[in-house]
Amino acid sequence: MHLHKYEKIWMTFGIGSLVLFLAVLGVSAFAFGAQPPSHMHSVDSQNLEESVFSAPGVEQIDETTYRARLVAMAFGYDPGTIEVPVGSTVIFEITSSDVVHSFAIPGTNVNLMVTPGHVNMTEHTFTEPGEYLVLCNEYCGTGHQHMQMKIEVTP
Amino acid sequence: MMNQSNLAFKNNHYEPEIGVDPRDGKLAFYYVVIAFSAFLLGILGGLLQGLSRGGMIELPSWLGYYQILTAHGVLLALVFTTYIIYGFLYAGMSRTHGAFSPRLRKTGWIGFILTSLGTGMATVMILANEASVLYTFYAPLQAHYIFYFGLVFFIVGTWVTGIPMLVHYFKWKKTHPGEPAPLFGFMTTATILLWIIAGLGVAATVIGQMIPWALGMTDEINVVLSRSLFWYFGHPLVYFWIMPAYMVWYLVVPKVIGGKLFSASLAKLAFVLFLLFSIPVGFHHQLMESGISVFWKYVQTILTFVVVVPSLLTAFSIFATFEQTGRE
Amino acid sequence: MQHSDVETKEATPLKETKEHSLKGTLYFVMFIGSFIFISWFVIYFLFLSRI
Repeated sequence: MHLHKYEKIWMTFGIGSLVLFLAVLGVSAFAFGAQPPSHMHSVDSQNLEESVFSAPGVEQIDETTYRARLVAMAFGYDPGTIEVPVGSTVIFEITSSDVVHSFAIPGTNVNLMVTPGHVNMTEHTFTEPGEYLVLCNEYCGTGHQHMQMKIEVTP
Repeated sequence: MMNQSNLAFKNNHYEPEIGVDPRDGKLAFYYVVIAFSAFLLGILGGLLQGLSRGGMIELPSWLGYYQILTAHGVLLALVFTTYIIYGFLYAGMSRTHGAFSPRLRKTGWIGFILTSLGTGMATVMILANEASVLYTFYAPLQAHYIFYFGLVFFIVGTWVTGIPMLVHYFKWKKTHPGEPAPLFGFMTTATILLWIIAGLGVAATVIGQMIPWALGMTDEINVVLSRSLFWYFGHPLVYFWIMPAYMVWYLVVPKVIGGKLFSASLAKLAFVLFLLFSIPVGFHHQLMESGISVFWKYVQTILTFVVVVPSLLTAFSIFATFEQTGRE
Repeated sequence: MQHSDVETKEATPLKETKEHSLKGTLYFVMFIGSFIFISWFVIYFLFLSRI
C-alpha cells in the first residue's frame, strides 16, 4: 500500500498525539493516582438498612478528613444537606436504593455514576467556603430534574 | 479534458454503470419514507421539548417531558438512522452490484416488515407513556414488555435485511472471479457486519435480562451487566452512523465534484479498522462507574483512541480528493 | 475496457498521487490536528486545575 509523503507526516503526527495523550493519562492515573471512580464494593440495594448505609451522613475520620456516606434515590439524596469545614477532604461513598443515578458537583472533578447494588467512591478537598450544589446527571425518572443536594462548606 | 488519467481514475471506482432496479428501488424507497416520517415526528418532539423547557408552552397533563424526550431519542437516534442507512445501502447495493435476486429481495422485505413491526410496537408504547425510559433504556427503569419485544423485532429485522446484502456482495464476487469488487459492496459488508455484531449485545440484554424481568419472571436485574451489554451495542451504533457517512465522502463526493477517490486501498483499510476496533470499545461509556477496575478502563481508553486512526486516514483522503480534483 | 484497467489498477494510484501537489491537504489536516491537540491539553489542564 502506497502512502503519500504528506500522509506519512499526518499519520505520524496523529498517531504520535494519541500515544502522547495516552502516556499522559497513564502516568497521571497509575503514577499520580488520578483515577476515575471505580470502587469495587457491592451492597444489597434492597436491604440498605442492614448495611453501612443504615445511617447515611458525615463522620469525621481524622482532623481534616471526613467520610460522607450518601444514598441516592428518586429524586434526591439522603441526607439532603451535609456540612464540612473549609479545607477538609471528603471521601464520598455513595449507593442507590432504586435506579441508576449520578452524583456531580459542577465546577469540580466530582462526577460519578451511582448504580444500585454497587458502592461508588471519590474524594474531593474543599478549599473554598460556600454552598456547593450536587446534581444527578443521569436520567432517573419523571422527577429527575429536581434531584439535588447541598454541601455547605463553612469558613 | 477527457485525458488518460481521467479515464484511469474513472475505472478505479470499479463501478458498472447501471441504475437501481425499480423492484429494489421500491424497498429502498419505503425505508427512506419511514426514515423521514420518523424524522418529522422526532424533530417535532425536539421542538416541543425546547418550547416547554424555555417556558413558552406548558405541556398538557397527558404528555410528559421525558415521554417526548424518549420519542425524540428513539425516533431520531434509532429509527431515522437505521432506516435511512438501510435505504441507502440497499439502493446502493442494487446500483453497484446489479438487481437482487427475487429470493434475496423477499428476505429484504421480510426484514423490513419485522423491523417496522418492532418500530410500531415501541412507538405505541412510548406514546402510551408505558416506556418513558429514553433511548438508552437503562435498567432498572422499566418499560412495558411490548416495548422490549418491539426492540427485539427491530434488531432482528435489521439482521434479516442485512443478510441479503451480504449474500449479494459475496455472490457478485463469486460470479466475477479476479475482478475487484465495487468499493460500495466492501463498505456495505463492513457496515452490516458491524451492525450485526453490535446488535448481539443489545439483543442479549433485552432477551436475556429485560424481557424476563418485565414479564415478572425474575425480580432482579444485574444493572452493571445490562449497561455493559447496552454499550457494547451503543458505541458501535455511532460507527454504524459514521460508516455510511464515510461511504458518501469516499464514493459519492468524488463523483459529485467530478474527481476521483484518493486511494481505494486506504478507504478499505479505514473500514476494516472501524469494524475491528468498534467491537471492544463500548466500556468507555462506563468510565465513571463502580464495579469495573481502573485497569480495564485504561485498556478501553487505549482502544477508543485507536479508533481515531481510521478517521485520521479519512480526513486526509477527503481533503486530498478535493485538492486533486481542484488541481486537475 | 474493463479488463485492461484491472491489470493496471495497482500501478495507477502510485502514478496519480505524484501528479499533483497535496500541500493544501497537509495544511488542512494539520489545522484540524492542531485544533484537536490544543483542545485536548486545554481540557486536561482544566481537569488538573480542579483537583
